[in-house]
Amino acid sequence: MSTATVAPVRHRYALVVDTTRCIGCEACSVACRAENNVPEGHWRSRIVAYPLGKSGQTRPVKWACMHCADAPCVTVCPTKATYQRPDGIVVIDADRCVGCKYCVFACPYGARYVDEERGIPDKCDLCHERIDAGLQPACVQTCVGRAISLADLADPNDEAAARINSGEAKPLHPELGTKPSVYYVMGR
Amino acid sequence: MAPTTSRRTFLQVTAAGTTLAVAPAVLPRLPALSGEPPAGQVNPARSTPGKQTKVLSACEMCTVRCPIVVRVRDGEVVRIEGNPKEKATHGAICARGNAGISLLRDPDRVRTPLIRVGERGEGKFRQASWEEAYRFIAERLTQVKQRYGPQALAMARRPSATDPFLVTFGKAFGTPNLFTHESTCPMARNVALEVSYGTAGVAIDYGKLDYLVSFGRNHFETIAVPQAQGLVGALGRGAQLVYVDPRHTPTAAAATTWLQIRPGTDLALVLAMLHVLIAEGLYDHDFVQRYTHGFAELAEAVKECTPDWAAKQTGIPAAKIREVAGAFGLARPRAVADFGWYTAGYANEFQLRRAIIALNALAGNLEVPGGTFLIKGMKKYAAELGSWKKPKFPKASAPRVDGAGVPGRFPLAPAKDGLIQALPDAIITGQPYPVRAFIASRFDPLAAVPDQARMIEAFGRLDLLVSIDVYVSDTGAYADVVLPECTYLERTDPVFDVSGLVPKIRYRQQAVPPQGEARPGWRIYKELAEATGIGEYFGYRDIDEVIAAQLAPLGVSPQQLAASGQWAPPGFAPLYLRGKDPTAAVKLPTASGKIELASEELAGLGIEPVPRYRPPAQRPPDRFRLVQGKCAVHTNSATANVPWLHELRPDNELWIHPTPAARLGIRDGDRVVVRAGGHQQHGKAKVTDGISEDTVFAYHGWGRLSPGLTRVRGRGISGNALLPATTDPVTGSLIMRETFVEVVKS
Repeated sequence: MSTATVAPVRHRYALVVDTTRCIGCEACSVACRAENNVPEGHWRSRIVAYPLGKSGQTRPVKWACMHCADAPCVTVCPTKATYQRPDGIVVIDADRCVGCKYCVFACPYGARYVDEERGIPDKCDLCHERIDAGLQPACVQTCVGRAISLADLADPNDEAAARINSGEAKPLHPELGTKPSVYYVMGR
Repeated sequence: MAPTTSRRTFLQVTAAGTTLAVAPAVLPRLPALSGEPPAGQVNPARSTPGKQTKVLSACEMCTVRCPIVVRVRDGEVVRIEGNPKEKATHGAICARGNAGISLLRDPDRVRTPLIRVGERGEGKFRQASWEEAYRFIAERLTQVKQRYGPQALAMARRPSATDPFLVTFGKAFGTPNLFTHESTCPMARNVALEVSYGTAGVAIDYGKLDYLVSFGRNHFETIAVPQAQGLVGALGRGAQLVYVDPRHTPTAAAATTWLQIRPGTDLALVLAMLHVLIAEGLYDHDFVQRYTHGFAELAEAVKECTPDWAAKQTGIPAAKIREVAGAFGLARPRAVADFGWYTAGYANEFQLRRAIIALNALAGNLEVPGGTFLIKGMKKYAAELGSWKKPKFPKASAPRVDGAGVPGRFPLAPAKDGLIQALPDAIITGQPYPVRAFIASRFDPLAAVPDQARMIEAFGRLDLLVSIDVYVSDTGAYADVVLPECTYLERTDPVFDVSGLVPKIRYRQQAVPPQGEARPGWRIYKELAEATGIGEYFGYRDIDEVIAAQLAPLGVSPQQLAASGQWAPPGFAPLYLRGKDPTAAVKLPTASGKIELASEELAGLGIEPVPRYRPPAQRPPDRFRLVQGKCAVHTNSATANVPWLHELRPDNELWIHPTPAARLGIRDGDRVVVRAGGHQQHGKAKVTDGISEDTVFAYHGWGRLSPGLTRVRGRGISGNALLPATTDPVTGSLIMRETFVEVVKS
């Protein structure tokens, strides 16, 4: 029995990335590295040149763990080191991880890397300690274009959640079937 | 890449510098183990937990100096964040600002004074004590002064909060030859503003404008966070951005309209816009009458500058020019033409900036929300900052060696900035008088100034070359002495004025102890002055005393400032002088007291009093115009070696259009050689239609020389090794986009 069925869901977190406000400056990438001491050579979050259709045009898109509700990384983890918190954040318990790297291969979004020094995979955890302390995730706080917002789908008054509920913000590649919790506004 | 429907397909996306890890397609479904997942755990690596202090300070990864909060634990910086109380940035800082920790910890930093033991440029040094280094410098300076006079010392810096100490040292020594890097960057724009408004202190209210035309001001790549954030907000509200650039930049991508103009022809476009505004009466008649001088002459000058004429110059269709001019006119007064920033481009740059100022005048946008405004400085709107007590400076022993601000030479060039590109000639020829000693302060002329070979030759002739820096820069590698300055996280700086619509001060507060033997600028110049016999000009004990003297006239205590990192007069609302009354008096410090559309000052100097078209230099066949610019994650040549930023962008590339690339047999990623003026650079080609066919482009800051810059030495292309140091006779600015290069596959 999971804790989610016992405790009432007070928060359900998601991220809204408004690509029409993203200038591709990588402030989020570096803030993430600094906040999480991500080792050099690796990033939990990067700006990617995301292709818009077949035109050859691209748009800068923040790319990291999608915190999928139906996350392959959670499913494949033999030790439950990777699990989803009741608030939707997919996290890794380093103490339970045996370093098998199934999760790295399972993630269709390529959001995980292996920290060679610790021998275990790592990825975005939405800065959950910051959220728990009432702060914004590092990427949200540093965003020059104010393009990234933390949404709480359990809060009926949450403005970012409203953009998800209205369909303005959508997951990328929903056809992968993993029900991501990172939603993108692609605009014009 | 087409969307897929199979979990077996993994997404392939390309990051700016690297390819993100994308896994092969295996999705085993293992049986789940029983057992509860553990409760939320704290990642020990996370910077958040633990007892921390917060130090309110100011960034220095570029010259914008955004307000920051430095989080410190056990004497280590754990995070740098934007100050969330700052309304212009809402707690944002850019990639560079976030990477301050990486600069702080960079093993390449210079941590002790160094005295050269090898040849200049070899980068061979021995460690020295501060006392020995000071003694070495002071002895040579004294010899130079005795033999050649105090004017034989030149000092240069990128403007920073350390300026008061460097300038005091130079003035006390008696030299007029103090330089900034300005002639490599905004000087043409600043002189145009000075001539037109009587002050360069004019800014743009990005957050509230409705229509912006930007002539190459690349806001989303050459990032000033407050401006970029303001502009993103305006665009989100529905404001229009017309972006004019031969290159497809992130700003072009975000713009409502991107005009891929022929390089160097922007002036024709602006003159045609002025023509349309005047011919169709789409300008603010009342504003022009009340606040401008010389409209009739301007109107006469643009009479023939029709959109059809401009279309031939610029390659932009006449209908498009009419459309943009019309939309600009209709959006007034919240229509703005950006003054630009890096304007050391073309020979017609000064008149281009003057013409842009005329566009703003015709829009009547001065001192209204969403327009242009005069900076509401501390001195006029609050109180002038105080200074530590010092004796009167001696009179400079000669006029400036480069003629900046000197009648008959470069009268319009700001004497406080000088023309750094003129320094090598003065050193080599000894004309108009000898310069024998040079101190470069967190400024790397070998990387930043064109005609690198001439600068190297000049350095070889000096009796003394000192570099004060956090790295052994390219200039440092040629220096006799390198003095390790601490980074901005390790020092307290004097208070500085960051006024905008509100008068405001900010300061930089030490967060952690200096690494090694690095010392702050305020201390280095004081101690060097004492060793040189001019210590009486540095009568302060420490930086706290300097700040107390600065704050005294304000009635603000150092403790108050330390708690917030910045200060503005309480209750001072953003001030637009014409915000309520569009006829309110705005007195400008020009001869006419108005915006000088036509300038008698210019006429008196034999310069066109109103802008007239001058085409850019003609490109010889089979050559390319070389253009340099900035990328979002680096600050000119200053940050190329910072580990995290280096990782994001380790190299530059030569952008070349597919058509000429095909002709030359160059494919994307091929090694190429770029040649000009007997110099050559090696690099990698980026074949892209994001650049005009006649132009090649490279980001600035690579092709470095110093063995002390271990990550970037020898990487990429240095534009400044290829360009000659051509000076604009009007403003003293460098002209850096009128040089043509040969490109071949290597």
